[in-house]
Amino acid sequence: MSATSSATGIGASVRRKEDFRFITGKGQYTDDVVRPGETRAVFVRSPYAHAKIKSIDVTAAKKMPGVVDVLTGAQLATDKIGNLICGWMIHSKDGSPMKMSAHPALAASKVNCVGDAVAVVIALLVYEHAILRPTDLSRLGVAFFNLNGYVSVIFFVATLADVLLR
Amino acid sequence: MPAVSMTVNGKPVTGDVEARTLLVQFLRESLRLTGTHVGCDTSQCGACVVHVDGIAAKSCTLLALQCEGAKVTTIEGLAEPGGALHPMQEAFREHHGLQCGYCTPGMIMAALDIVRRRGNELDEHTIREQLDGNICRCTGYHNIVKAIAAGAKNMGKGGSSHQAAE
Repeated sequence: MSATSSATGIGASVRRKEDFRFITGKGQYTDDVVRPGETRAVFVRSPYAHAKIKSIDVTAAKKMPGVVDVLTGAQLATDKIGNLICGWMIHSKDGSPMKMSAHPALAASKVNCVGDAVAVVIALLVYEHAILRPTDLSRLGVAFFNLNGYVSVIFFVATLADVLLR
Repeated sequence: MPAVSMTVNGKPVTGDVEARTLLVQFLRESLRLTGTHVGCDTSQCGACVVHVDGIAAKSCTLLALQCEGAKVTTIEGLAEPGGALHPMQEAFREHHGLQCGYCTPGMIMAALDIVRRRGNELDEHTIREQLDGNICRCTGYHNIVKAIAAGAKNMGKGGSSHQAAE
């Protein structure tokens, strides 16, 4: 055992009480605790970035040995459990609350992400490359400056629309 | 289910595991040695580091069956049977090398492997580089590095009857 911990009084270093169990692997973190009769939850997550949920069939899963229940977003709606709350609600100048899209804890109808504007940008980049040739760089200005200008404005408009309309 | 046998912290153990059971799951769930932690899904965090046949390994990336017949040492196997701490464990306590303690078992096991490979005189740069496979969210690594340097030095002084986990 180290001898440097013997100083006491004001300014002396105090050893933490909890360290012993952490450095010997005897901590009781949540996953380390096992209670008799406990159940464990597993979450099934969407493999798609943006998709409509047509249906979720839980019959086979429910029949598996050891399964207590399988819950989906449909049950959240039936039980009238609300959406994930926003940590910081802001209001418009006229006092009306901010417009928020639905954020259920379990997705019920649609799996979301932002992606729509990107397709437009790519099409224009193809045109950009098409109007230049190694022997004819006269339209360089058009390709690099004008078209990039159009691309950025369209991207901005799309992002703004997404923010305002969601 | 296939059976697996290995020596863990000096004791022979056997168990029935699925082919897909990871070593960390076998240690935590079958053997109830919960000192080895799971911190990520990506083999990045190093909270699961144990020693397999004397070499540090991430137990989340090994199948239990791969360790058939191996000698495995976990954080629980470091302290002396009488209760005295290993010099590396003592150093973490002395130098405040932990806060929440979740990464600590992995840090200590990785530190022992650094000593095995690089010796007892470790400079800060070496330690930081060699800890590339261990992530800590709390401490900023500063005191972990100090603890490892001190622990390595104390191991070299022969202060404990074992230099490194066998």
